[in-house]
Amino acid sequence: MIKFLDNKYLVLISRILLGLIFVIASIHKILYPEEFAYTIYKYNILPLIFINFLSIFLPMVELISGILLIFGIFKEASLTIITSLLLVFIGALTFNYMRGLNVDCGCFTPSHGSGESLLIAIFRDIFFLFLAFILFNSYFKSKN
Amino acid sequence: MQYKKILVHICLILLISAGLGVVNNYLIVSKPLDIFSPYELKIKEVSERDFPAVDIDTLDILLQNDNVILLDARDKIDYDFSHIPKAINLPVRDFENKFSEIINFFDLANAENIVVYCSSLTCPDALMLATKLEKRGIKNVMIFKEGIMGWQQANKDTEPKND
Repeated sequence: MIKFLDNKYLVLISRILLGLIFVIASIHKILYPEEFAYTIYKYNILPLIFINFLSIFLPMVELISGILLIFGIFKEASLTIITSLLLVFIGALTFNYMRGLNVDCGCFTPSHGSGESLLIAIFRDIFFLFLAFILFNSYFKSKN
Repeated sequence: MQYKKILVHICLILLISAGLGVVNNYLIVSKPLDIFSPYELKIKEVSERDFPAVDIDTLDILLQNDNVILLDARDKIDYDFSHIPKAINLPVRDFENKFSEIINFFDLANAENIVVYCSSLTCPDALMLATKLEKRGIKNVMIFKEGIMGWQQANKDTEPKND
């Protein structure tokens, strides 16, 4: 593996940054679940029966995982959850981008009509995934 | 063994998140969601954020002056049963096919007023259609939120058949 990815400061910064991003992303969704439900609805992917549950559950998972990652508690578990979420987000964004449904990302706050490009959101999530990769490389390699 | 421990931690995080999510939803947020019910889009609450609403009298005047393209977002079977006079059927569930047909006959992109409607205040189709139209670059889309039921309750004429 590339040497610089093992740098302990890079790992520390990646961990805090990724955790903070998830904490910040969760706050508006936790305070206004009905707005987040509307965002999920506009993605046009999930059956209606799952939308309310996910609007309540998902932001809290983001918050708890983000906080745990920042403080390094259960860091492998929280990193695994965050990485899984990023993969799901990238999948959902790409799916809608491919079928031409340019919905609001809703990644941080519901941005009705802001016109934020899905493509930008996809590339941003890929960057976050890279941060997760740095952490995976550090945590799981040191276990072996 | 290590992975088993991580899996236990993941389950623990998910369980705690679910518990806190429920507590937050029912005790803290101002508009709690019903976890076990399907999501219900309330046009009355959300459409104003994205699309202006048009009331029944304004719609009537626009129709009399032929100054509006009125789109019925419901399925064809509902449209055939009863619709507002001069309305064109553009079912949101068959949007891709119908949109390419309609765009040949109506200049939606340059229309001054486009109004969409569905059944009633709580139906999602009008908002979904308005969103889809907006994504296709069509502006000036408004929603007649009361829908066909509101129109009928105001004793306005409806057309029984699509000619």
